[in-house]
Amino acid sequence: MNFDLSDEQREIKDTARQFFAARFKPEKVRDLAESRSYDDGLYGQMAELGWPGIAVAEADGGQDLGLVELAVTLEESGYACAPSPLMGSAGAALVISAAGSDEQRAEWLPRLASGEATGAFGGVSPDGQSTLFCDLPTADVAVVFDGDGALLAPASELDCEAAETIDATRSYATVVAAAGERMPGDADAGRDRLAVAISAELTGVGQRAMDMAVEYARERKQFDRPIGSYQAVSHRCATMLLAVEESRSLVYYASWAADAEPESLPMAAAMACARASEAAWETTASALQVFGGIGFTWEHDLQFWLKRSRVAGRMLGSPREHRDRVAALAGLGAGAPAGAVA
Amino acid sequence: MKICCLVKEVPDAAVEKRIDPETKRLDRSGEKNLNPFDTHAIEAAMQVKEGGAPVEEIVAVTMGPDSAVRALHKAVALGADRSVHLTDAALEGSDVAATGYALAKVLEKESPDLVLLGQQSDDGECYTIGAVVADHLKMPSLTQVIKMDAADGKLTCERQAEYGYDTVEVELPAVISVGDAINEPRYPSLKAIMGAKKKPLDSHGAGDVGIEPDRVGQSGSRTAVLELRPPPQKEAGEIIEDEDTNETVEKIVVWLDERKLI
Repeated sequence: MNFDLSDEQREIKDTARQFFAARFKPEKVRDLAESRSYDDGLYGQMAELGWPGIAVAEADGGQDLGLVELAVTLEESGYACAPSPLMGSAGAALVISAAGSDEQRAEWLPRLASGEATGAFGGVSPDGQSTLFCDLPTADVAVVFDGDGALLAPASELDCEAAETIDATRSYATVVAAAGERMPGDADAGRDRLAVAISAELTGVGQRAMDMAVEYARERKQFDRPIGSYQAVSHRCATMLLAVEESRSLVYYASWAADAEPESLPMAAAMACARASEAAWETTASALQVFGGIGFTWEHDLQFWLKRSRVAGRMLGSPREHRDRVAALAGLGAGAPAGAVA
Repeated sequence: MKICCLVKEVPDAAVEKRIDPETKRLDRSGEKNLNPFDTHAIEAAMQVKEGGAPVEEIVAVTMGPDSAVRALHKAVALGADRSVHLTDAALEGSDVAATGYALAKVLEKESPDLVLLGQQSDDGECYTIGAVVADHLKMPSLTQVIKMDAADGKLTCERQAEYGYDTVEVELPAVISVGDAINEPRYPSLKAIMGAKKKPLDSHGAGDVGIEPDRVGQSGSRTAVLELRPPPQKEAGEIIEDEDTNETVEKIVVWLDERKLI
């Protein structure tokens, strides 16, 4: 059994790493975060490379690849903390692919896959409480989880309000009430795939925070020695590696399960989301400690990854809710599936 | 017109390079990638083709072990129509002269109108393979080309020199080594990545292209690495404290002037 990525998957990952490193340098991320905007030109380039439609079927205008290919791309997007509508669009496309009617698929998937339209997703609970919708204020179409499944609505038909969260690298909004046309298919499968996609991005966020911390620990000296040579720092870095690797392993497994063994996806997705959302926060918060005072400042770049991890890690519920779902699926408790958006 | 792009598999930029003390060769274990300088050559070929020149095909050519196939896949994902892999145990340990000879033998078989390559490899950094290949093929050669226009069987090239820029007209066929300022290589699309393995790849042994065994490999190389030493340590620099900016600027100007840098 081969647990490694295929040559093509590695090439997709390498290409994404190079693209994001060149196009979303920290100063670019800072510029976009400070203006709370996206660069349409850069998203156009991503669309030309086929990224929004990676996991969309060819018949729907996509690249007909799988969730593994999308996951490795989003991992690199998270590594760069790239402000772009890729997550909202690719995420919405995942749910529409899984749950949309033929008409809904025909109307939105080709446009999302080509980059002509952008997407968003979020949820409204039965008591009317809205989660943060990822990429909503700027999107053309939104997937709305409402507890009974998922609705699909042109963004212009949603009564929404832009939310200024701590994560300035991404657009968020809340909606006043669930609205849209019901998607008749398997919304749970769509949400599970979405959970894996978010987890992949969070894995990249954690990896970058760890890389930044390790590099700093090698360079920064105290008492004539790199601070990384002190156990208090090196153990912290080793724990970060553990968290990132656990996260990545669970994400890759869940991505594979989505394509090859769908019956394992609910458990795999819940495990991936539980660990990735917690690991990204643990890693970025731990990196903050390695950097000491400077890491806490607005001028230092680490804050972008720290805040992205906090907000993105709760988009589909808290780690505890995901763990409850794992327990429920394993028959170990009566917990309901992760509920913030369901 | 047929364009051949010479490409090479090199250790990934993230891999720390080290010399194997026994073989005195670069340790090539670890992650490998297509030489980033060669991506500029492929992009230049694509731009010649997309610029309207009658290009029938772009062929990526490499010499290297089995693993070099991955670099060829990357090359075709970036736009080459097919690839040629020269691989043979007899070629192992070839120096620049021997490698240039071997590549020239493959190119003789391909009969290209234009040979493009990057200015250097990211590992050996010799900057010379283009000149060696051109010498064997009896073709004109230019290095550090940063602008190139193809028309009427000729190339008009701008090349970077120590003193500025040369504009040179060269008759085809020719061997052109492009500088990394010539273009920004494109990123391979998903379709191109997924289709790379389906494009034709011809594999040749040394004998298939008429390579004489005594002119390649370690024994056929004209150079030998006798000894390796770390580079001498740099002398400590001079720190000029900025107590008075006008005075500091004067000191910097004097320092630069003494060294004929301004």
